Amino acid sequence: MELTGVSKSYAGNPALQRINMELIAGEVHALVGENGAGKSTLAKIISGGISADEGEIIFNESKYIPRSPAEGQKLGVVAVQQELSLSPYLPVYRNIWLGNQTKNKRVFINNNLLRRLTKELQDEWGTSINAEKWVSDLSLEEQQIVEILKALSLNPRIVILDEPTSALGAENTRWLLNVIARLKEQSRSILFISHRLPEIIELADSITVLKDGQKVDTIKNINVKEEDVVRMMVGRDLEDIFPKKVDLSELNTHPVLLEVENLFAHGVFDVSFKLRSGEVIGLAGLEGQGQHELLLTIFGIQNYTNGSIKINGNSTRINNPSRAIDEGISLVPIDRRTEGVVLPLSVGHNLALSTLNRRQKWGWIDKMEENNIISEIIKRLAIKTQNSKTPVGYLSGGNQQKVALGKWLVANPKILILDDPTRGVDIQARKDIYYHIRDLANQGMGIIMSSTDTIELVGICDRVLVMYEGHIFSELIGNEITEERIVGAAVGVNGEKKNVI
Amino acid sequence: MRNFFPPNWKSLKSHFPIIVWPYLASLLLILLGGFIAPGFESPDHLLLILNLASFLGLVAAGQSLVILSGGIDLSVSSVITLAGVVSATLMNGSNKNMLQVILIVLILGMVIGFINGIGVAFIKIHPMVMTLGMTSIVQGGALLFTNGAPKGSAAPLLSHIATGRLFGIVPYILLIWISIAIIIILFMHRSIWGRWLYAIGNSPKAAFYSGIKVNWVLVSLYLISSTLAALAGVLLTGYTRTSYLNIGDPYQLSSIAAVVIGGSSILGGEGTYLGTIAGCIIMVLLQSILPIISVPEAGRRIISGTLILLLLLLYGRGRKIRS
Amino acid sequence: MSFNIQKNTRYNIVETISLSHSWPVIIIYGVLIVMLFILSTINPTFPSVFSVTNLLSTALPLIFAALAQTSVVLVKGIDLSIGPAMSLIMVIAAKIMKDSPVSIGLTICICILIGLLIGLLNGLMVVVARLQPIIVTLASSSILAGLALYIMPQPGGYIPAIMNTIATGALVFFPVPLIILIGVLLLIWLPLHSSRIGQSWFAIGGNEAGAYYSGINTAKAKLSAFLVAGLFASLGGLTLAFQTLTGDPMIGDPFTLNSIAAVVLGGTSLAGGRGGAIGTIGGVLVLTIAVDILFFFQVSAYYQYVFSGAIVIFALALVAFSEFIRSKHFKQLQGQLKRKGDNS
Repeated sequence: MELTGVSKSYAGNPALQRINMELIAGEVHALVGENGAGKSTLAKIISGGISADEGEIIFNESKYIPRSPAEGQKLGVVAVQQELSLSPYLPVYRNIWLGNQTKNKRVFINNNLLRRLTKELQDEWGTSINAEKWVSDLSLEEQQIVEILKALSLNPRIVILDEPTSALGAENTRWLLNVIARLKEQSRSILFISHRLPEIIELADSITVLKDGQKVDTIKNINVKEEDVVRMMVGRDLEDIFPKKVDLSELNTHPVLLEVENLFAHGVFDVSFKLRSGEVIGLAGLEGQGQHELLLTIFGIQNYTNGSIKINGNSTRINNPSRAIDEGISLVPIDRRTEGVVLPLSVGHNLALSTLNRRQKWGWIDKMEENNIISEIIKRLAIKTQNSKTPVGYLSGGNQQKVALGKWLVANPKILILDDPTRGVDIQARKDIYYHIRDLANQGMGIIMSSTDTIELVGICDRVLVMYEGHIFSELIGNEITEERIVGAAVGVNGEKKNVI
Repeated sequence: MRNFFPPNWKSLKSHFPIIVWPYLASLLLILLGGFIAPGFESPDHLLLILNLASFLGLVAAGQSLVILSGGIDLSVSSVITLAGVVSATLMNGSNKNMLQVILIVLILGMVIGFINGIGVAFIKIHPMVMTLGMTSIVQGGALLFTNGAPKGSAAPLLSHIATGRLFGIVPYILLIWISIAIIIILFMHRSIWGRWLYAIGNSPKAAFYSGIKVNWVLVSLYLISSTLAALAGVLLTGYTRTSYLNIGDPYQLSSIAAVVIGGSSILGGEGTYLGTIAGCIIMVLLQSILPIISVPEAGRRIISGTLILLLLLLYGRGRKIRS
Repeated sequence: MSFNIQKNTRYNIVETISLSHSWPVIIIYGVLIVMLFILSTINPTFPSVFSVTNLLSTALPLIFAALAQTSVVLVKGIDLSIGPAMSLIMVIAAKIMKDSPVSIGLTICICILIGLLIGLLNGLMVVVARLQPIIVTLASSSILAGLALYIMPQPGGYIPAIMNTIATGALVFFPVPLIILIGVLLLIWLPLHSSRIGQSWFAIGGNEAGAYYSGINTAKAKLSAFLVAGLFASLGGLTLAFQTLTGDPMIGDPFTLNSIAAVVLGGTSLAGGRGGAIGTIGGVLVLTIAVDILFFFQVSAYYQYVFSGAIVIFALALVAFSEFIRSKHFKQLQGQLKRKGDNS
């Protein structure tokens, strides 16, 4: 497939400008760029989800102008988007063949045929998911695998994978890499979009870097180093992505802000730990081992059945977020678009949302004070927005995350909880966030963050708690925090083996 | 799918805030009415229109709040009726207990709204179904209370308020509407509750994660809606001097239509009461223009429905960004 | 969090029901059975061909209305125009039907076509003009009600008496309403449900954007849902006409809200993607029998209003409560599965 001069604008704002690119059979072409660089837009244009304003695409020696994803699929172009296309209330064996025009084209659905086809598909690609289950009953990882199987079932010439590994654990990522290798052997073409540079370097044959809707360059992946790619993405060298850490022995003299003892909740089994002022604790482990649930419990989103939470030494009962906020705890949730910010509301209103109580008299908002605080936070976090009235939905993912964070900084919490804060966030914004985290810690805040990015954990945390099946499996302090030990502990090595299945 | 309208229309539309359209539409209707029936556009007649719109305005205010939060209140008609028959029966044409009766009726409205709110917010029953069930219960309540035959009449003082005018010009009811409208508008745009409301209407989940007590805010909205409906019912009884069993019926669809024609999204999170006010005026204008040209009830319904569709096609299709 | 229900784990009956995806249907039919039992104790003539036929006749119009509503609700919509649509069809039938079989047949065909037309118009507004279903059908309900009033301002019209005999009678031991119902289910609903289009309703209701990206023609599918709703509404209107042998422009009004109640009681979620005809029919029967039972206790007609409203709210509170217990159960089960593993 050859793209020439492809452009797309939204309401006067250019999302893509004159993109030229080639997708070659048997090749993995990686697409990288910061959030808002236009990767997903480009992917949607290629797959038929949206139409380009200008430019031309040639596929199989003829003009390629799909009017819908269905048309794209018929021509052999299939995309696996970040948002799942599966239907939650249908079983797997029906979901995979949804909309499939070749295998599922009869007017009446033949369940047994679909079951058989599904089994054949799974056998061919080496997966074993229970096809009778409703998609809503599957784990996120399994859903992603089904999504990929669905794409494979369409026998595509070109496969677009948009951040496919963000939901996959180590084992399934390896599976995906094998799938990609096979696709290459079959002379198909893969467009691989990801933030994870190590993956890109390992996989890609060519790398195209986008920045602000324009193509920076396309390079062949020979002796390419991560720093090279980063330089192209950001436009300059990004050094010192992680700030300096603090002296650990000094930290141990700080007061204990949060003490969790024998906590039991949904997905949490007998968790105990202490968080001190000035400390950054990381929660590590495979996906879905309880990190997320633990954070939700501390913030009051879900209740705990046993155990205690002590703030500054005082035992308290946290049943809901308002209670947690009263106690000085803030949570930046994992899903910023549906939990972290209110997309249609303005940046300013979002930033002010959690602390309205503090700037009001008899319910009347003190607009002046509010505007001051809003501009201060926008400056402090370097939020890229036209002004405070812009709807948050118009901002890039990284900036949306900054708004989600900024809202809580206004609240000046003692304890800040971050649930996978840099997922899907570009390098520049990540660096900003890391520095802010260390800054806040140095000012006395206690910070807990969960992350699946081991490099990040190594770079920023003073202590790392590795979780496995809801327990804290292993605690790594200071120099013990290394990639190998984190990954090892995540899969059950070198820890106190507590009744591991 | 291709866009419905040619491109230059669309860019023209985006230059005006949504709220312009309903007011434009009401202006056009007034001109149309003036064309059909001379004297329609006279200040006297317009005041009458506003007078009639006041009742709908009260009900639509509550409906506005509820719809903004992402819900809907299908029980307003029966609350109006209940309030009407109860006040007529208890007052029974005398001023003696007027204040107590009004208080009782308003409290009744609050209780009904409170129950609606609890059902929607805490028991997580879909607002359509909850208020629907409630409407049935309240309707049955009204029937039982009056045993199918409503009697009694409004206290003279109440009738005076409902039909009288300040300085002989401005109807008291209109003043009541204006004051409540001001409170509602301030509430929505300058208070913390208004911020909470818009946050909840767009993303209840994010609002919850921001520490907003979503459930209690929702309860308060349904409470306000039913209370305003009860108030409207009392005032209506004063206006018609007596009460009858379907006095509230027309207000159900009209209140929802007024909110939507006024530019609010039926899904919530978008819209203002300022727009709803225009929506109320449009609804009342329709009801008064059509009888003039001797269109029977049947025609009125057809034309109202068609007009609602036309106005929605014009500007009621909602924003692109949704949480 | 992922959890695997291992194949050799066994559950007790409560767990099985809670974990099954059809649990709302099971519950509503459980309630139905209880009610039938109550009915048979208080009414000595129940069950008999006559009383069952009676019951089904009473329920049939609402069943059609509720099936119409089910179609639309599955694709995440709602149809507030069902009641007036039924009135309109009824009135048209009463206006043009004459005694000859040709006239009868023709009238039925015309009515069905009009029902489809109504569904088409509603559907086009939703799909092409992209308006919200609740508002479109709110407006169209006004238009349809007006049309019905215009055609027949007062109840009247004429339907050949034979239609009543057929519609409310029994063929040997089989009540005609039952035959009609089964016929409709087999000829309309079942094919729909196992067809690609019907399938896509569930997909769209569950994840509309996803369905679109999967290559499903969401426009066609949603339109078809509204068309089917129109079809069922016309069947409901015809049934009303045959049962009362007249046309009544306002008779349909209560059916709209009652259809929503029945749909929800039957386990179809207003959020779309889940549910179906079986549950809905259960919901209708429960509502109808409840009124019947109240009638037998000679409860004042006014109490019926109170009770039907209370039943809906109560039933849904029960559903919400069960959901709560169910999700707790899920969590407990997960915990148990873990602990079971711990001991190995």
